[in-house]
Amino acid sequence: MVCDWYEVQGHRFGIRSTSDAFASWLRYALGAHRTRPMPEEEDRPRYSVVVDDGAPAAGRVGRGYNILYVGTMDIARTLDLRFLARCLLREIDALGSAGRKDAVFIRTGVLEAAGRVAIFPSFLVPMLCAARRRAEKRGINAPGGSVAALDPGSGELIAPIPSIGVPVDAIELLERHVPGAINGARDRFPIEDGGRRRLDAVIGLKDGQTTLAEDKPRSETALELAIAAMNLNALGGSGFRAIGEAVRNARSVAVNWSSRDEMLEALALAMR
Amino acid sequence: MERVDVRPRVRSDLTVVELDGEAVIYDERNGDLHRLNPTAALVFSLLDGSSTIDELARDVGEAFSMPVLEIEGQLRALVVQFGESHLLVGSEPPTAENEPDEE
Repeated sequence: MVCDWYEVQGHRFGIRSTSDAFASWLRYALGAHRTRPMPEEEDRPRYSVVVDDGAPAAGRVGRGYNILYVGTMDIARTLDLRFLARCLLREIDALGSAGRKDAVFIRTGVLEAAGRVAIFPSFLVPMLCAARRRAEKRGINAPGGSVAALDPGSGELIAPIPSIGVPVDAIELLERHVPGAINGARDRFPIEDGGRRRLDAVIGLKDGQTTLAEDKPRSETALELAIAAMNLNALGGSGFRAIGEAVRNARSVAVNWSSRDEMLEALALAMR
Repeated sequence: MERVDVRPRVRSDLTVVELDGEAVIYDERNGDLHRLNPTAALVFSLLDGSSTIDELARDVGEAFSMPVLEIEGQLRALVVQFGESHLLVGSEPPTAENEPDEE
């Protein structure tokens, strides 16, 4: 287990990894931001990365997932270590979002199904991570991540240009640092770098609904998104209007809080 | 009870998003968010400072064929509520700059 510390835009955090090789790559990718831990924070890293390095594991056939944790919450499970690395960099980039004006950053997960894209409460991300294969069987692609970004003008989902300094070849060089962990697996974000998509649905959660998924007032959804926004103070009214535009053009739907399989079914229904 | 303008007017610096007849309001001054049901959203949209509550009640009563007295009471209650929520001119919340220091 290796743990290094970094500081990005005033935010200090540790990244613990099960892989020396991955930690070495992190030192390359985030070298400009490396710092020393304060004594009181040493045992409290923000991120943990479990890397499957291809070594045989008892009771398992084939490769295992690489897992990214924020605190104790897993926000990505993937066979594609490059994807995990990109996901981690996006999360770190969003740490400094409070003062940014290039996007409305919202603490929420993003999923894709039936060619449509939706955002959903971030606290469901670990459930979707843990049930990745079951989700995929229902046509849901939710590979990971707990932050979405909206264009501050149109309200479309976007992947903003990262504001943290990372070498341009960082992802490319991951394979050189961690050769055993790179395989043919490919995951992709619903919104890839430079992309933008109109939001098809905003999914919320309700307890005690009689149906798995039902429409809910857009005004309630807009309010919830505004509360989950990380930089509304910086953007002011324009950020709020962007949320309004995003919701106006999307289906606003609540899924019932229930068992994992029922919730997966509800998410699939919400996307139809 | 908070003082309410004779001709109530909503603050022009609020950001109002209307969605399916309801309204969601963001107040940049204090970061507050408000959600209005269709009736409250309608009344809110009428408060442009040009009419008294009596006049508004008459107009709304005529438009919806409802007793003016009943409407006037509801309008007054809503206007008081808007004032208490700092949504009207004259009821602005303190900003971080002009908020009094705590002793």
